[in-house]
Amino acid sequence: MRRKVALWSLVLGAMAALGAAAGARTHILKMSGRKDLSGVKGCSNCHFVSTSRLAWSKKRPHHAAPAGLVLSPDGARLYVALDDTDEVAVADVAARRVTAKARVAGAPTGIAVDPTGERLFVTCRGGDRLAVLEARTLAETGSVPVGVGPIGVAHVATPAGGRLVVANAVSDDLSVISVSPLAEVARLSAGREPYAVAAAPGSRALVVSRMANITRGDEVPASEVTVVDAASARVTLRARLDSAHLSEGIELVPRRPWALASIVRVRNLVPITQVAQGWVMSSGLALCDPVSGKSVEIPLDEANAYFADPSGVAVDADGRRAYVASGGGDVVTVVDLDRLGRWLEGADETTRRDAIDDLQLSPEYVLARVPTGRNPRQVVLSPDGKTLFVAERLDDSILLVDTESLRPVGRIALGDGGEKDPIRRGERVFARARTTFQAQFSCRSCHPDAHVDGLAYDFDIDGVGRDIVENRSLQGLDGTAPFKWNGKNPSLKVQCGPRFAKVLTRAAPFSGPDLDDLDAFLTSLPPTRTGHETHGRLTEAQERGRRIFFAIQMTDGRPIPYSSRCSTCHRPPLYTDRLPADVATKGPFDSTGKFDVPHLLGVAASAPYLHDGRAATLEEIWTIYNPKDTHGITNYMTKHQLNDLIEFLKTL
Amino acid sequence: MKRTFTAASALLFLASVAGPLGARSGASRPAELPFPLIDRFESFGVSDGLPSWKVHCVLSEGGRVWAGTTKGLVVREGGRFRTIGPEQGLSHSVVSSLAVDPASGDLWVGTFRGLNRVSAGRIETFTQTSSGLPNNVVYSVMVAKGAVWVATAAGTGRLDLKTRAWSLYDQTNTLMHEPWCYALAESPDRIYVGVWGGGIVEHDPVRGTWKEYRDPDGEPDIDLLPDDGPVHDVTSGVSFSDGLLWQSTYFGLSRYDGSRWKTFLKDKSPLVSNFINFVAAKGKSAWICTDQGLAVTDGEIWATYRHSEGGGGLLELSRPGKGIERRRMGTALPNDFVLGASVGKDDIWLATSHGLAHGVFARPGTETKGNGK
Amino acid sequence: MSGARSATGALAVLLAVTAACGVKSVSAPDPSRTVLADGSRVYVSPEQNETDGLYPARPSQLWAKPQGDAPARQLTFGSASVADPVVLDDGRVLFVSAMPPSLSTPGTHLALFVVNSDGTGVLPYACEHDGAPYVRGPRELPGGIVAFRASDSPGGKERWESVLSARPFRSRGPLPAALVKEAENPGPRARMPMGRLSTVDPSKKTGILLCLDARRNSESESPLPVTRVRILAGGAGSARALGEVPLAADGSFLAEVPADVPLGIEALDEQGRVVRALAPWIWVRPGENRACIGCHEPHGFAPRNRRPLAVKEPPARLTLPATIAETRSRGGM
Repeated sequence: MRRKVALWSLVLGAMAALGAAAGARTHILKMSGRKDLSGVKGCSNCHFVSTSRLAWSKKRPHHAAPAGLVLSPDGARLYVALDDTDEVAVADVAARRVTAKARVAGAPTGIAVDPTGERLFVTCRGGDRLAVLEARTLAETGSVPVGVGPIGVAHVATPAGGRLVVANAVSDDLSVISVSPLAEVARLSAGREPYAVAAAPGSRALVVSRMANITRGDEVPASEVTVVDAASARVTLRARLDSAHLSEGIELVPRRPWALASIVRVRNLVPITQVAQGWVMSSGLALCDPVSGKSVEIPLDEANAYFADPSGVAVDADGRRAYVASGGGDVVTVVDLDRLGRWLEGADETTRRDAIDDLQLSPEYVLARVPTGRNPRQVVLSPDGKTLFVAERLDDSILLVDTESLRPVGRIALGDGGEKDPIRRGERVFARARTTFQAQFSCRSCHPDAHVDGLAYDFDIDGVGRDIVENRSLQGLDGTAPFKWNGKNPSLKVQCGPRFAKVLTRAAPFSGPDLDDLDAFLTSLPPTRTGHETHGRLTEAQERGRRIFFAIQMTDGRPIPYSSRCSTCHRPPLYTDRLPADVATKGPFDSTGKFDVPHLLGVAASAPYLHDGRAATLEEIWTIYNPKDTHGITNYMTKHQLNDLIEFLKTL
Repeated sequence: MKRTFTAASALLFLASVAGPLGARSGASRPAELPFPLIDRFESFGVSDGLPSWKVHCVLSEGGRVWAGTTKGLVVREGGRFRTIGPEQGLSHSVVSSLAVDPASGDLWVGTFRGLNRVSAGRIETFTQTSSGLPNNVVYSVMVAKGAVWVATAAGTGRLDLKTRAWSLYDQTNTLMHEPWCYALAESPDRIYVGVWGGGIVEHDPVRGTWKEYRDPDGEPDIDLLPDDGPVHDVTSGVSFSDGLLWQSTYFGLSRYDGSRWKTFLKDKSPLVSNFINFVAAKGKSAWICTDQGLAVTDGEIWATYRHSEGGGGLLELSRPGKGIERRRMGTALPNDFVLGASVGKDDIWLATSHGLAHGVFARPGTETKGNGK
Repeated sequence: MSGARSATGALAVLLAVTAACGVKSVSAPDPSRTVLADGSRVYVSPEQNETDGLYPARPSQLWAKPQGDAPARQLTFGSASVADPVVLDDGRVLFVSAMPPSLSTPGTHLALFVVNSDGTGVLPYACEHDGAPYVRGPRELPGGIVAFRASDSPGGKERWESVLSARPFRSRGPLPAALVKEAENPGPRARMPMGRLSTVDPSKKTGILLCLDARRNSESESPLPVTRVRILAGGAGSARALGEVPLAADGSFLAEVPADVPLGIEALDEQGRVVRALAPWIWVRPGENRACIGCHEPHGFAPRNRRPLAVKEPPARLTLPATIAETRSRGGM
């Protein structure tokens, strides 16, 4: 009897399961309008997705990772911005220890000091403000709103009084601020993601932008050095740095007509058939004349060794030496500027033009490579030039280097380094270049802050010249598997696994533990900040756009088929159903037209768009690249409606 | 004898200070004139480095002169002209309008295929397909109240310079009669849009409201009742200064002081032609660019500059109750079809259909003669 | 094959081969320096006869024998014999071979080359056109130095020379005296070489050659008057033309070529005259995409950031004539 019951239970259970499966299939086919189930893994493609369950919604440990550094004018104190812990710390240089910390809300990132040493000026990247602190007590005495995502700041002396120039990395502009009274006097446009600022004589400030401009087709990208007259609050010059990006540091060189900006020379237009011989990218310096705007790019790498992700730059007071932190190579490169100057004098126009590609050139002027801890980023020199301070961002420490012997002489500990935190360990894997062939680049090199560089690349594995794909952001990607534009990688561990090593790094794959930590790091990243936060309240235009996004009929009442509605494939809360879709964007060099539906969180900050980056702006997705309503039914929209839709998308 | 000598002396004295009736070259600015007089013209054309003879618009700022032509944007610096066209990244060669953002010094350039920001040599373009620009055909551009305003063939657009958000205004969400917007002006608390066939619409940016000014006659060919509103609905230009809004049309000129309108027509005023391409207000006066010369007026006193039949230039000065005083000028506009003006403190630059003109204002108490460039 | 597994056997082979080249082998480096990251041991095969010279019908090639029973895989496929392999820290194999004779360097000239652990990416490393023409026994020393023995004639007086890995084509000179002892007895390597996953696709019989600008050369700034290239395949004395590929407007070309055979390139002008010639010595592995900057390109240069126009068309397919024997062999010794 019991056996009969068990048997019937099994049969009924099996029938129920089959019935459920059939029902699910019918449901999926009907609701999605698809004739295949390719990519559907279960109900969770469309249902039960909650951002509160994602890794980036959960609390995570915070670390005393040093961002900006500045020394007091007498060199006795080092002030450090700790963006992850919302603090500014002050360390006694002689004692080599932190003596005080103060809370500064909004992710303090960049830091400058006024010439008297009495005030600190701190950019708060998350709070979109500049905070003024009393240097002695670290008490906040003032605050002024600036653009979105401020990073670099410099104090500039002008006949009109002290001015500050702030680089607003998210809004792509500069704030010129009068110190007294504390007020923004001008907002000037900059390059893409202005990042570092250096004061220059003559009331000027030099700002280098981290990203190259968005390009179309086979255009050569370029980033920008913006020269600002802080007194008149005018941009006086924009210098173009060809094929340069990821510039995170700039300094003027005394006695010479140069500013030095750290750059990565990217070669995104060249098919990635190899990594050797600088084929993917190489690091260097741009010598930029702030008067004429002309620049010469020189390599910091060597023919068989690379020092990836050059970041902060410091130059001594005599203009004889420059120190460049290599964030991916864990070294500081010391450059003899006298030797560099002599080389430059003897170089003709062609030699100067080709210098950045000459990987055997750097021994002409590189004096030494000083090993550091993990991910050295900002560097500052003591006023007497004898000590270099290096922010070891992923070790939570400051390294002190004696500039005469070029040896480390001590450390200032800011935190415990975070060894026990898998997210921190994963970030180290992410920033480390030595897992690529000859340490040419790190993950950061194409994904700064784990975001995008806005460039498209030709990976040779699918054919030279074929399947050129635009870079994708890694921020906010938890819960959005599968990965890769063709959706073939079901998880991050596969995405970053052996095939990644074969196709890109041309080295051994990440070890198991490294891969686990990398996964922890990447999934912990929230979506990109776009600067269009709504704080829960949409404007009228954004609300109209939201209704258009979720519309089920056109303006004249005709229904929009389910499969053609924006919200079908781009389902909230992640704005992707994680299925492959063909929106008729297959190009002549693409092997498929089916692409993994990208999530839209942070989409406003992820230009360009579509799988190969052909749409430079969100508008172009529909004004140029959707002529037959294959990427949603959108051609019924008026310009009003399209503008409103864009305003809504910017809020995601 | 003594009486005769005294009378003769007096006559001589009067003649010397009053000036002769009839033509006289050069001019000073008598104290009662509300606007400066142009002392001489300099003309520039293709032979001087302009890419084209036809100049649509002109803007003088900070020691530089920008001009929009049919073959690109041109800038005059240090006495030399340099062209910026599509080869340098400009969105189109036909440049229709220019505006400078006083907050940043950036130049905004309207063309027949999009809007451009020219900033320290870098050109950033906005088209209707790449941005929220309402339409590629940009007739007018203005920077006001922290935003860039564009009048286009399909509505007026507003680009917030801080948030980068676009707003679009046309007949579907304002009182505009139609979307073809041609001109823009700013007062301390209002934005004015000249609509081609729709008069003028006035926008309160704080309250978000609109108000419309139309020709009450509704007659396209005549001004049935003078001073009852805008002289015509086909607005070619608007300009505001010192509490006065001026409207140019192809059928006359209007002025509005906030409560009363005043219309000006050729056969009822010293206006040299009803066909007016552009108006530029300065103080209580307005410079009027017509198809038959340049005029300036405060509504009462008029000065008109055009070619003289006998060659050279002609200044006609009209004052109430004093008739028309005609003065020959040694120099003239390159062409009487004037399309645009940029008025400075000491001079005026003019866009004409055959060259760029520079009018130098006479300094008070001086007389200048001659042709020179 | 079993003999090659032992150090003695390997040495015998080395001695035999290099003797045929007229060069004596130095004392072999520590065995750890011929082991790849996956544990495979690199060796040279086959043995050469004394009369074979540098370009025998079956030149000595590099092989890698994995641990266990897996078969050895061939790494080099050139037309000149190879010798003295060592594994660099970056995972590539450094070895000695001969440059193909050219107008600028007639006669024998041995040089240092590198190749990836799967036989892809063969490149000159140093000594290509400078200094004494006979080199052997390279070894990687700490501090980015590669040392080797050099002489002006076969069997002539030898000396230690070195290059810097930072600028191998501009730094050839005497090895500093302080490093000679280290060079003579390098000892076991300090750390494992970098690993690499093979990009070879055994299911394919061809690879891709991409040149970014065949008009670009190391001798002058003026572009060469090249309008098309002729690809040759085959070893010394048996090379055949596979076909010609026109250049795109920017000087680039893209060709699908047979894998695992020595390839040469002749750059032709409009009249079909040979402007530059590369005798067959490079190869592509199955499924490899191999790219270069120019024709006799400047060494140590990274490419300019431009999309080559040639990639906008399918590659020109150049097939292997039946008359050319494939140099690919199975199983090694």
